[in-house]
Amino acid sequence: MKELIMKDLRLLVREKTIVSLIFFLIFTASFASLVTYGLIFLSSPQYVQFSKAKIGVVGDCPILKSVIKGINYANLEDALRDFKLGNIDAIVYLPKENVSSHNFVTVYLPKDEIATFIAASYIKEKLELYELKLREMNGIEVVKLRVFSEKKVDYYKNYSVAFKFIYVALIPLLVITTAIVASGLLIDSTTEEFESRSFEILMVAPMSKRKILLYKIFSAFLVSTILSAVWLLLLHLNGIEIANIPLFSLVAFSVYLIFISFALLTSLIFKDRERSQLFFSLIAAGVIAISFASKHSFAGVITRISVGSVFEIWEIVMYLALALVLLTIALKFGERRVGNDNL
Amino acid sequence: MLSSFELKKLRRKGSAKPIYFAIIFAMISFYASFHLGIQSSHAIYTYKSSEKVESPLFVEGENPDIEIVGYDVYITGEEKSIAALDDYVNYLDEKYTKMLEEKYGVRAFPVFVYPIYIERELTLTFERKAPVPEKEREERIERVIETPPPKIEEISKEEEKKILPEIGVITKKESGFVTPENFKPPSLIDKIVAGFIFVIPAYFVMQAYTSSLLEDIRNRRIEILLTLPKSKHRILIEILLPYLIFSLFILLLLSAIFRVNAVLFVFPVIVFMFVLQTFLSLSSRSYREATFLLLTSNLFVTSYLFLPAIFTGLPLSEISPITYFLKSFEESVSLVDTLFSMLPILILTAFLFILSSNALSPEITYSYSSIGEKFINSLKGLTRNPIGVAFAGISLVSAALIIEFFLLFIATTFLYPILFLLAFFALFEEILKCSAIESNPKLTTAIILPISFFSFEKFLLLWSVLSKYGELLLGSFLLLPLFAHLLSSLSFYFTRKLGFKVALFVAFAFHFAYNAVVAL
Repeated sequence: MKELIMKDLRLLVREKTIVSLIFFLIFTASFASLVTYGLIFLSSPQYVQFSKAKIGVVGDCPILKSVIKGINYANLEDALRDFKLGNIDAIVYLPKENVSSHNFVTVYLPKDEIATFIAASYIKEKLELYELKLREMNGIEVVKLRVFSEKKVDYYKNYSVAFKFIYVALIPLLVITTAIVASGLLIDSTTEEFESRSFEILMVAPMSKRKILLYKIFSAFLVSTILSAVWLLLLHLNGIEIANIPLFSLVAFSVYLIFISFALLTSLIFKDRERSQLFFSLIAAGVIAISFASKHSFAGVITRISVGSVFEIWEIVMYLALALVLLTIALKFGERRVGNDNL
Repeated sequence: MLSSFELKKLRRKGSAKPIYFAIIFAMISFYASFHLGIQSSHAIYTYKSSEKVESPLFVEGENPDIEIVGYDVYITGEEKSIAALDDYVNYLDEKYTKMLEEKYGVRAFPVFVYPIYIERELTLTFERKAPVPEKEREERIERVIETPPPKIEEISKEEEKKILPEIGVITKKESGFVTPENFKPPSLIDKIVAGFIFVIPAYFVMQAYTSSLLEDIRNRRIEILLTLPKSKHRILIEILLPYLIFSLFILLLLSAIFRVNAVLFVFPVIVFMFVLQTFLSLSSRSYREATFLLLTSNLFVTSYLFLPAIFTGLPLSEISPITYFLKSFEESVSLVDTLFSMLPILILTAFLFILSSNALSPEITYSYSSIGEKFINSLKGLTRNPIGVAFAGISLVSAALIIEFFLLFIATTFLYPILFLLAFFALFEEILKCSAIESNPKLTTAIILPISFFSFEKFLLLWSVLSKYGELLLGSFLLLPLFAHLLSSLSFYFTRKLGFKVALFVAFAFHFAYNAVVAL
């Protein structure tokens, strides 16, 4: 039995596939980090701090000028000249300020430059402040939130974007990627046995068909465990913590088992790699897409457990039960399928 | 014709009903997912308050992330707690805006913003660029003054008439006059999902293709095909053709549905991916190895294509044709810029096609050599003559550019020391160059290859592709002069008797030393 598991694992090491796998995971993690970085850049470029925006202000608008704290210009022509020469990053133009009515502000920004985002972000923040000032002056109710923190915080607007990306997208995607990789491995391993007729040789071994299939599943499961350990370590090194590791692992392993059992069923039905992989990929793509559309889906449960939020025990039990049911069905079907037809 | 054989082979496999079922299932799931939106983020924060927070992100719970007492909010200072505060602020903003609309109407919105985006030709400021001569500078200023500024007052009045009666709608408006809360610079990030729609179907077609090819290799059908009186190029094209036509058909269909020109931007990319997957399938030793190579290459290429679009505004975003494709949704894009963003991909497509044709032989396909060895063996057919060597050099610059793009981004993310990054640049470039020299170890190869490598690098620079990189890093540190390229290639050639790895290390050492000296 040990030999059967070792056979699959040895091949992975010999062909350096395991190296490719680890590279794949590191790359996935890097990819996610880049996306996070991009999201922070888009939502709060001043936090990334490429440089500070230089803003020119034009018009008869004393309140706006006091809020923006930019470079004042006498006319738009002068401001545009400096803008085109790169001396300022943007122009805020309000011909005549109207405290008791509407103010239509024109903002000149560079097209497709880093400065566009830095300047726009700064101007947005200042115009929101300007709007609040005018509201106050017009007797409109203004909400002022006071925040108290137990420790010093480094807060910036849209802070939650990157946070949600990590826990809502990245971590569930790492679980899904691991499940798909392990399932792909099982499909390859099983269909290869069918196509090379080596199942016939295995049948001669003093071992039940159930055990043979079980060991196939176990070796795929072992690969998913190794990969999970790698990316959990990578997350830890990047300062991303999982709140409840035991329960998180339980759900993650249930997901792996669901995918792996389904992969076994698929390869037992089709017996050739081409259709098995295609069918499995299409179904997996559909499952992944829908898994983000509900909070009770495995992606939702993984998110809440990893972030340390509220979850129900039934949500965990449901996935474990589904995994065990699928495993039983796959094994039962496999016993019939492997033994009774022309291999 | 082999293409018709390929189609028959697919039909012979058995009933296609399960595959149709899977396609329908995937399409329904994607539609449902798009319709429902992301809900897996619901209930990620806990709160404590006497008033109910009606945001799906929040749920009442013990050990709350935020505690709300009136307009006072208490947070723990942990990352999750700060994120909860941010989303609570967003929730309050929305609630407050709604209240203002209901209570005060138009009066509550005293400020409206109208953004105008102007293209300006600034001189890039990296160290090696000569300063703009004073005379030219003055001419530019004059040109700017000659250009009349837009008549803002007129726009304001016209827009004013239109928008004032619809003030409630305006606050949600994406273009024209918007409230400061809704003002944001244009970004391609929202369109990336739309861009994926055009590429995803091709992934499944590619999977069917590589599976079929791998099966042909495994069943030794390749050997039978090679006995046909056809060239290897022809055999490969005929095998690829039905899958490419099918992908093109899907692309045309999607283009018609969404009324965009996806064929120009996306089809060359799809062809590149097909050819890359062909080479990887022919070079892998088993299904397992093929699966992971194909998976990794898919992720790699997808990232290269889509990742730049996230960084709209950074010059680096323009290296991918997909960025231009996404831009074309809203504005006309320059055909020349698009073609240049495609240049490395087009060259690599031709290069990989030649390599795949060379790999289409029993000696390479059925040997148990590693992918690196098969790469060198496949290069042999190309580097036999000087023109082939020059083409290999040009192609390897394109490959190096793509690899360095990733290294640069990863470096930006992880902030590892610059020397470490330069070492990786040197290593990857030398692996590529030395592999080509190893395929035909002659002095002429060791001279022509670095010259073509260098020349193409300079050609790209002249066409200001690399000057855009230069703003961040590459322009300053990576444009190695011919001498450095020649030195590292010749050092590899003269030390290769000590073994490939030792010679590679020597070449790498020279290359890295040069990079380090230039950088420091």
